[in-house]
Order: sequence, then structure tokens, then C-alpha cells
Amino acid sequence: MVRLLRANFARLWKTKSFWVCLILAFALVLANFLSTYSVQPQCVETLGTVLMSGGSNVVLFLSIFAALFLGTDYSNGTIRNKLVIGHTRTEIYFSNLVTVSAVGIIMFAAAWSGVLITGLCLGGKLGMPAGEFFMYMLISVCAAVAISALFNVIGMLISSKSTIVTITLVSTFVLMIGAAVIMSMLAAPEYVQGYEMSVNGGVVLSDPEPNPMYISGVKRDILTAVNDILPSGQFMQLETGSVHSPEFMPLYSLGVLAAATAVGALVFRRKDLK
Amino acid sequence: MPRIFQANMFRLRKSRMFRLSVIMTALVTAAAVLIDCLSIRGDVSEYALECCALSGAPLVQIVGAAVIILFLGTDHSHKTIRNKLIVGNQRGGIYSADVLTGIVIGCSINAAWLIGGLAGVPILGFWKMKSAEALLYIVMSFVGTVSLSSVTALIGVLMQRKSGAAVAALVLAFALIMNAGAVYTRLGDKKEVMNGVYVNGELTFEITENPNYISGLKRSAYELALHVNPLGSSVALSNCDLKNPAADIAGAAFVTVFVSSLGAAAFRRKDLK
Repeated sequence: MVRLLRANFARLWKTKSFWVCLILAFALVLANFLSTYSVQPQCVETLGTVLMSGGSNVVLFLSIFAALFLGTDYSNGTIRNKLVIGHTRTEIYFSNLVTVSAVGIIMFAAAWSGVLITGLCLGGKLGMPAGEFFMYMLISVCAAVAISALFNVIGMLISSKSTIVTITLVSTFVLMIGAAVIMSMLAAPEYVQGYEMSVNGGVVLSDPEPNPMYISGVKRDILTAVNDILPSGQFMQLETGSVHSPEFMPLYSLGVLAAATAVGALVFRRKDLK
Repeated sequence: MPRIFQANMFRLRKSRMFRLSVIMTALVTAAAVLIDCLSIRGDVSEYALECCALSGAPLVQIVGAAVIILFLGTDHSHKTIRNKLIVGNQRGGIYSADVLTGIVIGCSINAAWLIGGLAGVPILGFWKMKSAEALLYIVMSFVGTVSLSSVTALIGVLMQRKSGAAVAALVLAFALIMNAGAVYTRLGDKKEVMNGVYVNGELTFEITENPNYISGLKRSAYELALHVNPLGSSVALSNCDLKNPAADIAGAAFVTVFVSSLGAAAFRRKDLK
């Protein structure tokens, strides 16, 4: 597997899509930061929060790169060559998983470095305890690895490069939009303030009324669990600064990684590579 | 052109991917609408089916764009375009047939979505809006589809690499949705807002001007951006808030004609390696 990894990384540095996606992710995250800074200069006082808000952009470009990189193996017939010279299917699967995960970490590191250096030059500071900051970084890295595992499943089990690209991108959009919808549903308050007209024509506050849009009970528990477990939900929580259970999120990501990898590797071992 | 279009339709009818996409769109929409309807608390007569059924309008457009790209991209990957030219078809005819095929695919996915939305009828009844208004909303969903399909067909025909075309089309669709959503939200800011202030210990409310309200030339520019965006009407549909359907139709017609003309001109000069 070491030789496969060496080959993958040698190919990686020469792959145009890697550099294009890396540069675009870096540029987009930095542009968002500068745009926020132009409207709210005080955002540099909380650089830690700002750093965590670019996750969705990086994930989008990671999905594009993963689909193109993994799809090339099928379209060029490289997977069959790797098997012919003696590598096992499991080794091929895991080497691709490690490569895509590494690229995800590289993209996040590049995006964070750009914002951190620019923010510090603008006189900013972290704005949160160091322990909390490193915990959030760990959550981001684990979520990036987990979502790379999901992309790897799609990329290794589908033989057509264009279909890999389409399904990976559509899945990414669905995950990110789904996470945003879940967050907005969970954010609805339990009670809403009522207003009523007083006898002298003024508006006064009445007793708070139950909010019909508030989700409670089992449904709330399910949505909260889904939002905590899915990598997209974790990125959304980091972006909005409302992290629900930070100590468990890396474990959830490892669980997603393990489950996705187990299923993907098992199916790939039986796949007919035409 | 009619023969190429007929050939495309024949291939489309046999395409497993297309049939699966249509069926899955209808099933997923039906499931989503049912889940929405069943989670309603209180008096269901206060809720309208169209609010649940139309909420997925932008996502359906993305699915349509993906299917169009995968279908039209096969022409390049299987070298069918060159075969079509060799037997005597004109490039303009090939491009027009592909655009029409894209529109048929988009409209089919759209129709499947609307049919799936009827799954909530046993719970909420039919749409509560007037028949003329309902028909207008349905027509507008197809108008937006035609506009986006022409843009997607341009990408699918001009880009030889199927995977590259898929990336370009989907990222563009996503960017158009984000742009439409942002513009729609800005235009939705009210002109005046009610602020609560404490006067002598009593809470009173006063109406003040909203500093975020866009007016004048800037508002016209934002409205134009929304009407011209192929997904602009989808965002308005998903909120059951069609304000200016005539302008949306005009914008979609302009985009369709302009993009199709541009695509045909570019395809005529394209080097088909």
C-alpha cells in the first residue's frame, strides 16, 4: 500500500484539478473573510470564529477534486493495472481514502493559513480560549476525513467518471442544504412573544405563546442526532458558532469514517471491474 | 433537425438513467411532502399543500441539470456528434435538437416533481390558491426549467469532457441558486420596521425606516438580476411568492434565446477533435 500511496501522491502534485481546487478554495475563503471584514472590521477580534466559517466552501472544492481524481482511475483503466501487478482491492481502496483525506486536510490548512495570516496582519486575535480553538480544529479535521470517506465510497463504487462527479456534487449540495434546513428548524424558539392592542390604542406585550414551528420530543432528538453525526451538520454548527456537543463530534466523525469505509471496501471487493 | 431530435427522443426513452431520475424525483418529492404534512401540529386546514409541494423548486432544477449533462455528454464521449455530421446534418440542427432534448428532459423532471407533490392531497386537500393562480405557478415552474435547460445544454454541447461539463453545470446551478436566494432575501426587506422602545419605563412601539431597504435604481438592478437568473423564479416559487410573473417570463425568454444563439454560434466554430 505504501507504493500505491507514493504513486497517488506523485500523481496528485501533477494533477491540475488539485491545484485549481486548492487555489479556488483558498481564494474563496479569503474573499469571504475580506468581505466580512469590510462590513464588520471588528470580526478580526474573533478570528477563531471566522476561521471556522469557511468549511462549506472547502468541502465543495474537495468534492470536485475527489470526484475527478477517483474517476480518472476508472476512465484510464488504472485500477485494473494496479490489480494486475499484485495489489489487493483493499489496498487500492484504502490508498485512495488516505489520499483524498490528506487533500481535504491540505485544503483546510491552506484556507485557515490564508485567513489567519491576513487576520493577524490586520491586528486581529483569536478571540477564544486556545483549548476551544484546537477542539474546533479537531472537529473540522475529523469531519473533513469523514466526508472524504463518503466521497471515496461514491468514487470507488461507480465506474463512470461523469456519474461520479454528478452524484458527488449533488450529494454535497443535498448534505449542506439539508444541514442548513435542520439548523433553522432546530433554531425555532419554543415560545413567541405575543402583541396585543391596549385600550388606549398602544401596542403592549402579551404573554408568550407556544411556537407552532417549534420541534420537540423524539423528532427533535432525531434531528439533533443527525445534525451532530453528519459531517455537513458539524460544519454548519461550526459556521454558526452553535456547536452542540463538541466532545463527541470527533467520535461521530470516526464512526461515519468507519461505517462508510467498511461498506465501501466490502462492496468494492465484490465489484465487477469491467 | 427533426430526425436528430427523433433519434434523441428514442435514445431518451431507452435511457435507464433518465427513467430512474424521473421515478426517483416523483418518489422523493412524495416522501418529503408526506413527511411535511404529517408533522403539522394543530388545525391542518390552516396549511396549504402548495407551500409544502413547491418548496423544493430550486433543488429539482439541479437534478434536471445533472440529468441533461449526463445525457448530452454521451454524444461527445461516444463520438456520435461526428457521425451526425458525416451523414449530412448541420451543426445548427444538431445544437437545436440537443437544446430541445435538454428542455424535454428538464420539463419531464419538473412534471415528475409536480406529480410527486400531489401526495399530500389526502391530508391537506388540493392547492388552496385560485385555479388561475395555480396554473400560473405551474407554468412558471416550466418557464424556469426551459431557461436553465438551455444554459445546461450549452455547457453539455460545448464541453467535450463529460466530467468537466458536469462540474461546470452543477457548480453554476449552485451559484445561481445562492445568488437568487441572496437577491430575493435583500429584496424582501420591508421599507419600514416596528421598533420597541422604553419610554418612562413603558414599552412602546414606533415605526421607523429600515436602513437595509433597497430603493431606486439599485432595487431595479436587483429585480433585473432576479428576473434574468434562470433560478430566480424557482426561489420565488419555493416561497409561494411570485410577484411579477410577466417579468420572470420575459427574463427567461431572453436568457433562453440569447444563450441558445450564443451556443449555436460557438458550436459552429468549435473544433470537434
